[in-house]
Amino acid sequence: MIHSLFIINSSGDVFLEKHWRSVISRSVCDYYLEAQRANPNDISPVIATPHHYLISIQRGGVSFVAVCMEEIPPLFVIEFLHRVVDTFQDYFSDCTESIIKENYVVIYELLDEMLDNGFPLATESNILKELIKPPNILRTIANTVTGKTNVSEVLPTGQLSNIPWRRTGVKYTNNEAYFDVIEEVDAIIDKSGATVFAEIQGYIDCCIKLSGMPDLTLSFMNPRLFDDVSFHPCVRFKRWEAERVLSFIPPDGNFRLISYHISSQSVVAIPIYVRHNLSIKTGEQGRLDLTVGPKQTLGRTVEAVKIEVLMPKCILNCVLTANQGKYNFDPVSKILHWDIGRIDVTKLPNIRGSVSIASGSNTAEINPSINVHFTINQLAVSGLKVNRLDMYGEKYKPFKGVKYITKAGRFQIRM
Amino acid sequence: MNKAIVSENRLLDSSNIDDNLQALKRITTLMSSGVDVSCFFPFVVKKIVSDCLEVKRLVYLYILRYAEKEAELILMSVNTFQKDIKHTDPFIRANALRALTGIRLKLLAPIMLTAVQGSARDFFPYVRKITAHALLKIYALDATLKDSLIEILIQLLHDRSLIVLGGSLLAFQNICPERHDLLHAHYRTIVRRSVDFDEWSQLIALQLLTQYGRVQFANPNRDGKSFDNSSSEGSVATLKALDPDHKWNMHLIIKVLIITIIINRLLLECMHNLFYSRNGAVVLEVCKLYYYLAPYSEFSQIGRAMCRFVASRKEISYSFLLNIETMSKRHPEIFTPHLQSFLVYTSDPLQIKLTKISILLNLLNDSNVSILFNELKMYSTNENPKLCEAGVQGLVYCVSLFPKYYKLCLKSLFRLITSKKEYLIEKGTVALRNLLQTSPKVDMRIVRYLSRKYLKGSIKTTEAQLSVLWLVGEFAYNENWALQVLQTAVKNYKNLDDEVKLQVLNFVSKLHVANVESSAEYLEYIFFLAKNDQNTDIRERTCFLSSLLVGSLISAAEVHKVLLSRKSVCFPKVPSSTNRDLVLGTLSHLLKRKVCGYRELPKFSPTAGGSSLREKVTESAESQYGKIWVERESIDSLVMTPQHVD
Repeated sequence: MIHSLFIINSSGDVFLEKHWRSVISRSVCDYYLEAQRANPNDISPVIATPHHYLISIQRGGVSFVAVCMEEIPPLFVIEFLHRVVDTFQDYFSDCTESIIKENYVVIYELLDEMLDNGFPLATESNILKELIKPPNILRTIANTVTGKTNVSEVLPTGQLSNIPWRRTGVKYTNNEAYFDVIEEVDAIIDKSGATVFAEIQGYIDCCIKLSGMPDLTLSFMNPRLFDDVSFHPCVRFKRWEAERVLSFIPPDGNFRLISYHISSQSVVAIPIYVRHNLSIKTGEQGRLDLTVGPKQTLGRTVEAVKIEVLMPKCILNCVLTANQGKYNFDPVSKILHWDIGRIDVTKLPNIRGSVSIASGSNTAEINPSINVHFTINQLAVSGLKVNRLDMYGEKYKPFKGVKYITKAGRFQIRM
Repeated sequence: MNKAIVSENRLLDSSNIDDNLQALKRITTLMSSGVDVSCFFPFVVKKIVSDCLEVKRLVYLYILRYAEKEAELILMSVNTFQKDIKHTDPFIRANALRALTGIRLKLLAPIMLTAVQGSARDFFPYVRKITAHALLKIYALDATLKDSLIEILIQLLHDRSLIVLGGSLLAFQNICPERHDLLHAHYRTIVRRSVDFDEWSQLIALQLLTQYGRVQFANPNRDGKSFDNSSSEGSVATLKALDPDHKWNMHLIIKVLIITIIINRLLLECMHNLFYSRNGAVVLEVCKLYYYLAPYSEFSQIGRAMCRFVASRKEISYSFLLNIETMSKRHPEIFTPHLQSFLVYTSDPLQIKLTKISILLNLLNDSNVSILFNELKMYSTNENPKLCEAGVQGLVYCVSLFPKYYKLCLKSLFRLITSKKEYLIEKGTVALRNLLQTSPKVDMRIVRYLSRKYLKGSIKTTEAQLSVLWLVGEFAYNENWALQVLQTAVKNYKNLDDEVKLQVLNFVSKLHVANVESSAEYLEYIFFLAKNDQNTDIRERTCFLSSLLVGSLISAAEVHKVLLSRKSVCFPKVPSSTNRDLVLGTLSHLLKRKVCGYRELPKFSPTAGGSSLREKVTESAESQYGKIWVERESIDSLVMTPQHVD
């Protein structure tokens, strides 16, 4: 069971604490802060102290540290903390230190609703939103005028029905259902340009604003593509296993319907290549030359391309010229950022120039790597296509839309 | 501060709800940022009678924070709580019950018990769920009430509503996890409806079922074979083999066995759906259930589901990797098809990188050794010393399994030694020592090369020096150049680390055994220095060695045997970051030590195992036997039943 939660900012201030059982002194966070000071990017998710266990996550520059005192599945705590952050993001559209500080009361109430005595009570955002209304300017004004409050006066309907993720009595004038198919390519490319490993992590994020209790069925042209999937609890597993269609009564608003995984066993198209040449010899100036170009993009343009080169420690500085975009080199973290933007096929982006090397350093064994970011609109790189969306249970005709996006996930090239 | 108190108190005393709210919100803000606001207690607690729900909730939040400090004032408000628990609005009832049972005063336990007894029969499921949660809070306060609490729990376990059942399973797990007899009647409901539970209740249900399954079911993997419900003849044969004298009633045994296997089937089939969960904790728990209860033939599903989360957020990924590491040690076949998910990214945090490498080493086999060897070679040149060490150790491990990689490994280790970075030289030297120790025939050229590097002074770190001295002492004590190494060691003796000093003592003794005349002076000199060393270990070692060499207690041949016999070869092991004996997915497993509240996984009950078997026939099987053949059909029909229908 989770005893307490501390929220800590990047400079090490504990700015929110919530205890579900007896109060635990915030000095327990010192163990965490010590780890944070030692290496802010590499904090162990579980830290054992003499009497407590600290389980933590970091998101958006804010650390969430849960304190436990006895045996508990660590993953349960980690998943829960992520769910807390997701809920905050859903409520306040972001989860930063200043937003939390502005909304102390709502956050405190939310935390109390989400955990009872250290065990999850209500974590579905639809239920929570009925219990504690998210703040918005209109409501704040209305509340001051009418004297109403942000807290629900009645038991949320979701808690009573068999469909706890959806509230009843939803009404919209425009009924809309949007589906975003997002695919992220994870890949490791070796020195010679051969693919060591590539797979696709995909998601379908929905924004569904439909009145009443719609029962939706989403089918795909090629459902056999999926290697492994996980669903929002609203999806009926049996229909999926039998017919490979997604049948569900959606929650109201934004949610992730399904995440899928297309693993390395199937052939994954690599939409971009980087030709690289880094020649350095001991005691001399080195030369760097990078060219980026599209590979298998099915005729789409590659946009928002960014390159991060993790240089070896011996490199002091880079003087380069790029024919497109801007670059900068951070001599502390040794990362070269190059923001390219859209790739023009007729004139491939190129950056070249000299790098200065610390004297006396050995350059025989260095293996820098390149992280690549890109976006391709209107393409799902796996070839996944939504076939149709049917709605049962309601009479009106909804507006439907599907959008495809391919992005780089962890796309790494070894130099 | 005093001024503030006065103004807040004035607002709280006001009859205007807005004023009250304003004050309470300010107090809550202060409280959540960690300021001690207990001074407001008498004023806040008065407001519990307010009709406004938000005021009430904020008062509850406040009371729960400071109740322990102000026991007497709390007692005054108990009446209001009792009134609210009987309120007509179910929401107020639930909130009041939650707040009352959240107060950690043992004094109040009997009052809570009365309240819970009433609300267990509430009309609204939500209130009953809160009641179930309340049970374990009361139990934590006063364990002597266990029996009365179990009575209420039994009542709640019969509840038809899923949210109540989820809550009561939580209470069950915390109050009386050993009472499997209470679960028998609900087992099938829990198994079939688990899909419709909320995620966190699924987690509890899975934990309970894993424990339950271990005690109640037969081991599906006995004798290394897995048997299925279809192969009942096979199981009969197995049974006959187990019970050659026909001491027991065969008929009964077979019945029980088939029953347990079918139930097991139902469990696995229903839980299979939970592999689709978006919640990593649930998926890990299902994988655990399969790992501990399923026949080996079904293990492949575990691998696929777990690898999906390796690419997840770093904390989730880390938890999964640790469990994969332990699983892959015993059952590498689960994960070998997904080998590539464990390749290391430069952007991974260090812990994840190291865990991935040890998983890769667990998965090493004939078909993937060439890929892995190249990967390891790359890691061994990394800028991070820890990763480099893991890579180098991996290379040596590779060679210990696949001797044909000896030359390639040697080559990459040599490249490390020739670099200028100290840590690379250190790791390379230590690995070379391991490699030479395990190889049947020692290549003298390598020892010679290392000693030359030592003479040049380019081997500086303790570990590396230890390795070189050991190698020369062990394999090259006869060579002329060994004396040069000794010379250098003696020259620097004063500035050496204690560990190295010990090694120098050993080294000089070894040379002395082989070559008495030329090393006598050095021996004398070093023993003289070491005898007067500050470190007791060094003094003792000197005593031991000098009595061995200088004194004539034993013959020269025996001394030779003591010091220079070929040391037994210890093959390098894959460094493990977890303890595989502890139950997967637990905090104890992650921390490698038993944490308070840790529960062992029970051993499979030996189905054909004497009296315990018959007891089970009477208590569980007999009662379920009538329904068991219906069970089989219902497995099929289950596939067809739509979900989310109560």
